[in-house]
Amino acid sequence: MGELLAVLAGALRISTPYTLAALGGALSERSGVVNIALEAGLLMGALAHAVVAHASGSPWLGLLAAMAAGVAVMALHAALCLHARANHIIVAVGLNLLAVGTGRFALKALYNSAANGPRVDGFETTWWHAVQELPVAGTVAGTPLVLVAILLVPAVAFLVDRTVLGLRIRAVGQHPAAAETQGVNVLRVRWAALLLCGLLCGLGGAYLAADQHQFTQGMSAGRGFIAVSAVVFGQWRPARVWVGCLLFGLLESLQISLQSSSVGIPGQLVQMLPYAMTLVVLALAASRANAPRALGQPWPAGR
Amino acid sequence: MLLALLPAALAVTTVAVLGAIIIGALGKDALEVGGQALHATLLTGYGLSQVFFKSTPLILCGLAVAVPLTAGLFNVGGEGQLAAGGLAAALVAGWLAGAGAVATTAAVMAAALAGGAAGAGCGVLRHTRGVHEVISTIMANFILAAGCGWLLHAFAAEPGTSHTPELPADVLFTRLGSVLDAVQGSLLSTSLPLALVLAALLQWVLWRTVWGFELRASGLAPRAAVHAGIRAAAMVVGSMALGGALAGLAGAHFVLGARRFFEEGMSGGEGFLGIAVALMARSQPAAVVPAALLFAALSQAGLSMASHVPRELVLVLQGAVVLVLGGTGPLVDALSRRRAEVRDG
Repeated sequence: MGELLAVLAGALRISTPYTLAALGGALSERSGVVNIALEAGLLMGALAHAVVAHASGSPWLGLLAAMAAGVAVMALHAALCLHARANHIIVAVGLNLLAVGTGRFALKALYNSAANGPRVDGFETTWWHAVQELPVAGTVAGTPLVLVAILLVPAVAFLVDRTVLGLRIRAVGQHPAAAETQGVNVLRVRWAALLLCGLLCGLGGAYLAADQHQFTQGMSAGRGFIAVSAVVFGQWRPARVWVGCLLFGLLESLQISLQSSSVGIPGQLVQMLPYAMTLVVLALAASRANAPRALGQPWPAGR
Repeated sequence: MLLALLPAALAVTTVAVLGAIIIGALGKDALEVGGQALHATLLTGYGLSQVFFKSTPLILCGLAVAVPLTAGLFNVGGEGQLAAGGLAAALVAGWLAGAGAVATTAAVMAAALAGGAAGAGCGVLRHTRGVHEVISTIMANFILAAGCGWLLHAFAAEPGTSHTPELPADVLFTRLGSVLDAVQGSLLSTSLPLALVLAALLQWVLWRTVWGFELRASGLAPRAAVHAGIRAAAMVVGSMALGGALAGLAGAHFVLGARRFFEEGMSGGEGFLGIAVALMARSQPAAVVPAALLFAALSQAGLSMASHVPRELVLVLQGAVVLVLGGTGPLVDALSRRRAEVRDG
């Protein structure tokens, strides 16, 4: 029982950055902007968190900085895709490259290190320690951001399905021309979706840096891409996207407990599983039939 | 002609301006540091030979992106295909050690096959199941990296090391220095002429053969191409397979022309940089060569100023170049369309 709980708690913790980034990705793609730059958002969020938390001594200021960094990444994404009408995939590839480079450059320039930065404190405060004393919830929750991510799932679902902004996000992703005739400013709504996406990615990055108590180069380690596949896996619906994130988290958590119990499955083979599973799931179930219809298309249409 | 040079001019401007700002911000004299780097890179024999050496995998990875992109497909899987090709080359060359040029040829073909299979798999997923190739090639990067790591450590690594046994000299690419006095002592090998010939060959294939025409047609107007009787399956799977094979050859370059063995994390991100190279070349195979040389020069220049500024600066500049090329792409497209309209009346 205790072992099962540990695996489940691990799954929840591991899925936290996936959830945060994937919720952002879902918002962005529902508005019609392909987003495979979640990786860049996570990495820059982690870097900003570690740098500011170290310099100021406050993880909460680090959190703010992480959100700002995520927003900055997605603002660049928005400016290039929405106004320069650049290809969304090219922009994301560039942002991902730029993020990896910026992370490594910052480590070298600030801390004269090739691999990792100085230690930073996590979010564990006195009141949080009280939460952790609770029997089951304490084991499961880990750090406050785990809880925040869980609460954000219904929040984002509500935003998309039940608010005016959500309706507009869906409209500009589905049929921007129709939305415009209703007086919706297509570009402004897409901007809003991308900035929210950046905010969420920044939170995910802060979780990574706080969880490992430091920034290490390339620490997003493909999590942004797992989040991208969770978005497609969940057919762009926040709750289902979360299920995908949990599934990937569970798989990884199982891998860790399998490794420690030395069952004899090589670690590299287990490492492949989330990625292979994504491919299998996409091949079996999800054609892009349910994708937002204007996904990847520039606005206004035409030349 | 001027229009074709526009992306390169934009890239150079980006590097110069952003590089100067960052170097200046670090408290160094940008003109002096940049001038020294340029001199060491372009005006010394060693610098130049390093530029050509580093351009070899970039040419191959640039072609690996350019060919599928002609058919409208984004091959983001260069890293994984490169690793698969590198491991295949190391294994085959190791088995056939002592067979000289036969072993080299077999190893090169194995690399192309391994990379090609990886690319073709993503093409099949795209055509039959509608899985977007950007997602599948990214997933394939992780799967292949882990898979090659497992194969290496389980079966192929030299005991006590994390790489395959060092290959004997007879199966490696021939050093150009042994034939050409001018490049004696440099790292240049036959992989460079191989890459150049492939670029020229592909330029001819894409623009002078039926298959190339069909590929371009299905990239420009997929539905019209299908109605004209062009088989989409052959285009999607074929171009992804060819792209993968080219990236696999870059793996062979690392094993047979640089390292002498296969190890994990062999490439320095050449697979991803291939995207930047193909963008700058606007998917023209012949233009991939100068574009790759430009990126190789940037990387070599970064190395040569490592005593003044962190060489990671180059990574930042590379990312910025991709963003600038991506951001100005539609503008360049519009300009070339307008010129075509003027020309055709």
